Amino acid sequence: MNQRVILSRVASSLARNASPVTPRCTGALVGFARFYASQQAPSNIHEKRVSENRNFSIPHQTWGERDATQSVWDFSAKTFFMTEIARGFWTVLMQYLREPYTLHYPFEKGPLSPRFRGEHALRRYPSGEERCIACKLCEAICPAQAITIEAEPREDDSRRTVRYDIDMTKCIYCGLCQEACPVDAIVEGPNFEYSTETREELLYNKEKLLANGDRWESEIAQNLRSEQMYR
Amino acid sequence: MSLIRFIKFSLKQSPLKNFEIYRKLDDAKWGTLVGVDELGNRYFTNPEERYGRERWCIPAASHGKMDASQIPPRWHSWLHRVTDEVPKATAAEDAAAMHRPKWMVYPHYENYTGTKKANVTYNTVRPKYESWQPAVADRA
Repeated sequence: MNQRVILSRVASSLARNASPVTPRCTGALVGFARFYASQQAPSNIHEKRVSENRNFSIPHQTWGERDATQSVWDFSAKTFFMTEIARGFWTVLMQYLREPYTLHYPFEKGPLSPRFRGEHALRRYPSGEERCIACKLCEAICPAQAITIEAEPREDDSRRTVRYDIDMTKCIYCGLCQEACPVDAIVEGPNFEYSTETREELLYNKEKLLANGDRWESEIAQNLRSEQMYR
Repeated sequence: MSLIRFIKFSLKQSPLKNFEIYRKLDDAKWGTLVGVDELGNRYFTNPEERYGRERWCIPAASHGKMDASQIPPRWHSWLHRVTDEVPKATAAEDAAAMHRPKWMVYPHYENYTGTKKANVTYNTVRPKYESWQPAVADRA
C-alpha cells in the first residue's frame, strides 16, 4: 500500500467527519476513534464476521456517545482539575453542619410498645398475695425450656410454687409464658436495662422475679390496662 | 453537631445550667421542665426538637454514677413515649392517684450489677432427702 492510498483514505475519513450528520468533532482522540470506527468493511469473509461484531455495543458510553453528550475536554477537565474533591468536601461540610439524627440514649430513649417483652416479673394481687398458682403452663409451653417450677401445698393448703426459676440466658423472649398464664402472674415487663456483669446474675429465682414485679408493677399494670381491649 | 442549634440552645439559658447540661448530656438542650421524680431526676420536653429527641431526662446522679436504669417505672413509660400521662407532682398525690399498695417498691432502685447488692441466685427449695448420719451403736 503506497502513501497515496493512505492519504486518500485519511482525506475521505476527514470529509466524513466534517459532514453534518456527526454533531461535533472535538479532540484529536475522538477523531482518531471515529477514523478507526468508520473504516470500510473488508470483503474477506473472516474479517466480515469481525466487522459485523462492531454493531454489538457493550453497555457503557462509547466515545461517540460521550461526544454527543459531553465534550471530551469537559470530561477531562473535570477529571484532571479534580472538582470531585471540592464537591466531596462540600458534602462533608453540609453533613457536619446538619443536625444529627443520633439519639443520646441514656437521656433520650426511643419509642417503646406497651406490649414490649422485656425482663420477666411475677405479679401480685393488690392484697400482696402472689398470683402464681403453679399450674406449670408456662413451663410446658416455654420453647427454650428456660423455666423450672416445683410446687408444694402451703401451710394454708393453697398450692404455690416453691421454685420458680427462669434462666434468662436461655430465654428467647417469645412471650408465650405470659400468653399461657391464666392469672397474668408471669409477664414480660417493659424493662430491658438489666444487663449484668456476670452470667450467674441472670439465673433468676422466685425472689428475684417477685422483686421485679414489685418494682415494675405500676408500669406493667398501666400497659396491661391500655392493651386489655386487644387481648 | 449542629453549630446553629448548639448556639441557639446555649443562649436560651444561664451558663451555669449550660455547664451542667454539657457535662451530663454532652450536648446543648433547652426545654420546659415537666416534672421531677422521687430520685430527683428532672424530665424536660421541647416539641420543636427532632423526633425522638423531644423528651429527655437530666439524671440526679453525678456524672460518673448515671445509669439508664435509674428512671422509675412510670416516668420510664413517659420517656419511652408509651404514654403521654405524666405522674403527679408529689409522691403522696401520685400514690393516691394510682392506689399504690405498700408492697410496691417506692423509691425506685437501679440495676445493682457490679455492686455488693447484685442479684445472687440461690435455691428456694428445701432438700429432697437428708444425708445419712452415721451413729455408732453402743456395744456394751
